[in-house]
Amino acid sequence: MASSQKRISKELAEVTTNPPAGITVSLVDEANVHNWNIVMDGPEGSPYAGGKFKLLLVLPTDYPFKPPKINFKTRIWHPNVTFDEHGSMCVGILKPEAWKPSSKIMSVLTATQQLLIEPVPDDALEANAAEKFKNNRAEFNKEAKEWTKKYAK
Amino acid sequence: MSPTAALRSITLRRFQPGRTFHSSSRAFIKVGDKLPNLDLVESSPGNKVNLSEEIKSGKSLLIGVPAAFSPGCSNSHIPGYLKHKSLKNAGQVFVIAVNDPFVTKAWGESLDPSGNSGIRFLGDPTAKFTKALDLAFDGTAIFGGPRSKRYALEIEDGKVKALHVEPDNTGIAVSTAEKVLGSSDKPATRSSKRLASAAAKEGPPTPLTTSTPMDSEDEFMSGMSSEEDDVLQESDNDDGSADDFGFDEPEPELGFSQKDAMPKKKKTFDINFKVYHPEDIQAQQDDLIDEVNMILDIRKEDAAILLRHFRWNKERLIEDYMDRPKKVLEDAGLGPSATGPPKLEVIPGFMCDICCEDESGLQSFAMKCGHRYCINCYKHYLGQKIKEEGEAARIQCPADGCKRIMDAKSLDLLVTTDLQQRYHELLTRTYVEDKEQLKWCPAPDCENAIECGIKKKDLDRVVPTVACDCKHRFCFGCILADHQPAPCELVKRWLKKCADDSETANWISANTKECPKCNSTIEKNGGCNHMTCRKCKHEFCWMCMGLWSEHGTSWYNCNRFEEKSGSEARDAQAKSRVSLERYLHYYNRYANHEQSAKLDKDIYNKTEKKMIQLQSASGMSWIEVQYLNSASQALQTCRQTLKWTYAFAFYLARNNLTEMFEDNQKDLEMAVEALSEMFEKPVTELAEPKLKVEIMDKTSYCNKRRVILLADTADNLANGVWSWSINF
Repeated sequence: MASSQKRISKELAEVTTNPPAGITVSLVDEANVHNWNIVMDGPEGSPYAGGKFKLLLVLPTDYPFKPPKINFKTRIWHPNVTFDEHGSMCVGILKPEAWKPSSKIMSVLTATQQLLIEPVPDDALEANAAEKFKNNRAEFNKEAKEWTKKYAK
Repeated sequence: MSPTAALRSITLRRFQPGRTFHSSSRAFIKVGDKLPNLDLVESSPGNKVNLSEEIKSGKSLLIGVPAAFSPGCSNSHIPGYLKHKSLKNAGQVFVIAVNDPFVTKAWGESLDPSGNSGIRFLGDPTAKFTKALDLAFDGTAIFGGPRSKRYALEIEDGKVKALHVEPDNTGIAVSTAEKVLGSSDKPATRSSKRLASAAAKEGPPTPLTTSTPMDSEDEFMSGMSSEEDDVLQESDNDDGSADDFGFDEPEPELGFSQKDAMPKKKKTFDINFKVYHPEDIQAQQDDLIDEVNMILDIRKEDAAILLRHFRWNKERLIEDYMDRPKKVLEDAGLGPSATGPPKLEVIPGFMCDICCEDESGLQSFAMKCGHRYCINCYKHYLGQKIKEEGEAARIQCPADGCKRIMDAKSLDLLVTTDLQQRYHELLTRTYVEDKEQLKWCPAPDCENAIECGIKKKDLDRVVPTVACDCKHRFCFGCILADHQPAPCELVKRWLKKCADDSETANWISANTKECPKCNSTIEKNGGCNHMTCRKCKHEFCWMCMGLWSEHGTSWYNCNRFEEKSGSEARDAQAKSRVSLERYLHYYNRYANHEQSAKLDKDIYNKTEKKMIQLQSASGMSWIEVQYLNSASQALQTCRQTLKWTYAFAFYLARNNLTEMFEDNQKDLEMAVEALSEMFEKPVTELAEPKLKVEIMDKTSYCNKRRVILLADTADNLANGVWSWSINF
């Protein structure tokens, strides 16, 4: 749809010219505005600090009426991200019932960043990580840091 | 029970006799009647006013209102009179409200501070006067007690010359100044005009047109007889069902005659229900919306959204709205709003925030929340919600985080007709699904819904079988096909047990034995009689079930059948088999009737064809062969009942009641089998008059036996006297 092209270009321009702190955005393929590479710095103060996480953002053909899909390409040990090659993430704004056509990619990116700072263990995808986050924070931080060191350098 | 509900039920009890028993002798006051000789009060309790004395001669006008200071009365109804240019020709004008005189005085002063109009405001604190006119209705839910319908009485020389009574008690249509005094060049306020035109659509409001359409509940109740009536009606009214405001009280005479005309005797196991066709369901929603629209003085679209938000609980909606209107509106997605109908606009310099289009002339739309998007994006968004997600009642504004709900009027403006149609279908769906006492008929392609007051908690005492107009009979409790006499919980367990067990149980019964020691089920898959249980390693003889070690040297040749250990083991074996055999006994009979019902139906279908041939050959009329149809139907329903009696009996503990039940079951079963046999006779025999009479007799006998069985079972269930072999 032509209209979605226009909207996407506009959002891309916004994010690339004025990116949120710690996030860089580029197209996977210059000819296709639907697939975005994201590189996100692990936020300071979180066990992910110092790491660089790659994510893939895919905009469906009927974006913005359907929410974008976002996955971690870098392995991350986090209660709300599957600890596997998919790196699927559970973030509120992307749930179909919460997504509105006027929601912006910028808010998806900041929500993702926020999720790294503040995991939501009650909506966990990785029960093990969520359990440790809730009951043994020191252990959680230690383990998350180790994985960050291993994968996100 | 909330305090209001308690109060309401008390008032209802007080109102009941008047509602049920008045005949024509005590209907509304009529043209030609004199006013009752009763006192009203003006300004203070000591200042009594007797209208039958005061207006003996000349013209006067009595205006009755539901409540002083209520929005409808203060904003449009009475001001309409105050402003009307013909008011001075109406003679003496009195406004009467069921309020104390201090309230009516203060109200009069607020509406007509100068007192120039000459209108006098009278109080009828006990509603004595209003009740004598029979113009009171039960307004407990909103006003805390009986109130006056909205009316206008034209009096001449002490007698009623004309009366204008609002058919829905509180509306503002037929009793407006315009209607009563003639149209004025000064228009009445916006809302009264709108309402008047709404009423005009339904039919010309003429004086004395008080016969409102029967409200659904009363129509439904009128089909019942006996003392259960009032009890049920009260309890129905107590639980906040749709019509419990008493706002749509039917015209008494009509209610009376309908009750008389339908003296249908009810069976104890029959429950009250009503079938609604799609148009009834729509009309019910419209009525509720209209009512809320009038009481709360809000737009119809908003009333609809509020009602859906409150799951069609009108009472709770009104109570909450009266308490905290802002919060209710916000929660329902109707935040602060401007007025005016929804419309598409072209705004210069507008850019759609969704598609980022900004071409000039682009049409855009915004709901009351002000979030504006272009028509194309709106179309796409709504289409996706309605078509793909099946959403209707809860479509939100496309703006991020905005909870404003899309209303029907705006939607109709934005999408194509087929989407509109689908949207309204979905809305109707939510209406039925939101209401506990409404359920869709589960028959394929049936669009009807059934209303029934049976609640989940009643299901251990009653089996609520209902019959849709499409002929499908089903249980209102669990939506499964009719399963009288067995209660829902029993049915659920039985079906689960059958699904788990029956096939396997049959095979187990035929091919296995249990280990005498640990009761594990063992299949002998060949070889010798020396069995070793895989589980407990017990060694025994398959033939005599005795200990293998006691077989001594006579291995492979079991001749020890009379030995002690063997007979004990066989006893134990027998006991464990009993439960299985018992289950199979009931299951086989249950399954048999299910199967037979199908076969009976097949036979009927074939016979029906033959009967058509026979009709032309023997000259029998269609009517004359209908006895076969009745017989077939009796077989179907009786077998359905019989089938479930076996599931029922399976769970019964043995006692006298159970024996009586089994006797009833046996009688019905024998009758059904006899009828079934006659029914299978070839067509040539069926045409014989003798057999025809026998079939007719047997059919009615079967039906009778079924009723006896069901009535007996239902009574015991209602009284909680069955004892079960398991805990429900």
